Amino acid sequence: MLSVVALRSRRLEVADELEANELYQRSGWTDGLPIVAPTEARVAACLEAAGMAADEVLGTEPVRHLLLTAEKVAVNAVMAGCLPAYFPVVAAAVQAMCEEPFLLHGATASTGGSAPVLIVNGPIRRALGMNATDNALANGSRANATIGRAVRLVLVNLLACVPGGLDRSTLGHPGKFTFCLAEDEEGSPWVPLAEERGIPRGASAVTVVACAPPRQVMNEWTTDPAEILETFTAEMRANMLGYSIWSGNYVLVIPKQLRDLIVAAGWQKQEIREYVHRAARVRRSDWHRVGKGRVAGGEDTEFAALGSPEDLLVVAAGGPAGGFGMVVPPWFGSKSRAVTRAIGLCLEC
Amino acid sequence: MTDRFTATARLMAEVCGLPAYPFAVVPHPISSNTDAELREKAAEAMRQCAAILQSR
Amino acid sequence: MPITVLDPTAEVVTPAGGMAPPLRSLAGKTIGLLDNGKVNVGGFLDHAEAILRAEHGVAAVLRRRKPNMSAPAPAELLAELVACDAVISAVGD
Repeated sequence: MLSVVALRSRRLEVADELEANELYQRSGWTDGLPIVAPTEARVAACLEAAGMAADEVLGTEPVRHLLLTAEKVAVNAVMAGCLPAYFPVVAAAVQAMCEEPFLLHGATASTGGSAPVLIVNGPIRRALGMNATDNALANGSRANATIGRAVRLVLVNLLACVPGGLDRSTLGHPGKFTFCLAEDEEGSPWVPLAEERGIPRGASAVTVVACAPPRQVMNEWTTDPAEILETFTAEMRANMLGYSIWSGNYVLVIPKQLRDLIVAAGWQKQEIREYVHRAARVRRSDWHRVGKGRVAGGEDTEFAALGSPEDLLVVAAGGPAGGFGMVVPPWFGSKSRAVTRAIGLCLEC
Repeated sequence: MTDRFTATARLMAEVCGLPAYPFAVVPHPISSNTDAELREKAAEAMRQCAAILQSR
Repeated sequence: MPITVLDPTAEVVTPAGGMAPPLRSLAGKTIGLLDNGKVNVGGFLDHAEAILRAEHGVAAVLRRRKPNMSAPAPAELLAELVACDAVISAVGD
């Protein structure tokens, strides 16, 4: 058991759990929702679950050279309501966000209001009771909800990403409270996302993407995979014109009803990626149709949503009924790139 | 800096250990301004910058 | 029952930075102008450059543009600018 003496955070004495919550609310240390008081024992339990020392550095925010220690991330994970067993996922997500391609400062301070979406793969999903089916992107699972929330509290408290301060989001979106989903690996014949991105089969991993708000699509009237994907692609084109034309890591979440039809036609994730790469394109002149004529001049260049087919992250998740899908666009083109990190496993060792 | 970002600028100045760091402020926004508006804002900004760079 | 809880913030003490000494005058100086890459900043700095030369006697202006508006300027770009007498970075908006 990790000695609580090894924890170096400033201690605060409060009357009880309710007073702790009031203090943290007044201090601006929350997301506005109630927090779980981060006692020494609760924080130590998280560190023990991950096998981490309190002063282990999970990452450095490169612009301000801020060190993110396991202890401090654990304090915020407890506040979010994480059980100790959830902490390894939180730690891996923070490590992923500190990798250079994620562009942590830009992705979290921008007026564009991005949220980090966490996509979890591997055995840890079942061990933690994560939800990958009904209501996959929303409420209901303690693990999904609190793991995603922990990341937001880390950004607020360790990186000072406070709205109006360093977090310059004009609007933000609800994913900034929490946005964590698990892939339905058991309900899909497709290769899991993390395995496609280089994580060994059987290992658990988290993929983090700085994202704009998710956009739901529906097509219950066809069995043709190209027509189904055309619906997703149309939403991507709308995003390119209405929000941001720049190519980047889009995420498509495909639930069972549409997935079964695509699979029945023999399409794997690669066929999906290639279709979308070819089809998700707009022209500069299309901006005239959406009130952006002022910047539509010059050569009528074609813009693609994806720099390459591999930029599309396809995730099998969602409930069993309903011809719905979700397009999760990137925060801002390729400024920030998706990063996948193994959980509790050193791949470079 | 435009006037809607002064709080962020002050925060970054503190983060960098220079809480009193002075900067020039012009009205928000910039991205939709006409050339005449840009010229006017540049004039105001350079007036402030000259004062900042030469102040004791 | 009283409980002990932990501070969730970074608790970092930032060492005080140092300010560069002021310039006596802008006349004859080399001023760096750093464009943060956002729309219209180029036009803004075109006017700024003209004003610095015409009204303040600035001798030379080094114009540079950040390749990524959401990330800090790369080290090589900063190394060029640091050779100037002063740098004006624009525009945070």
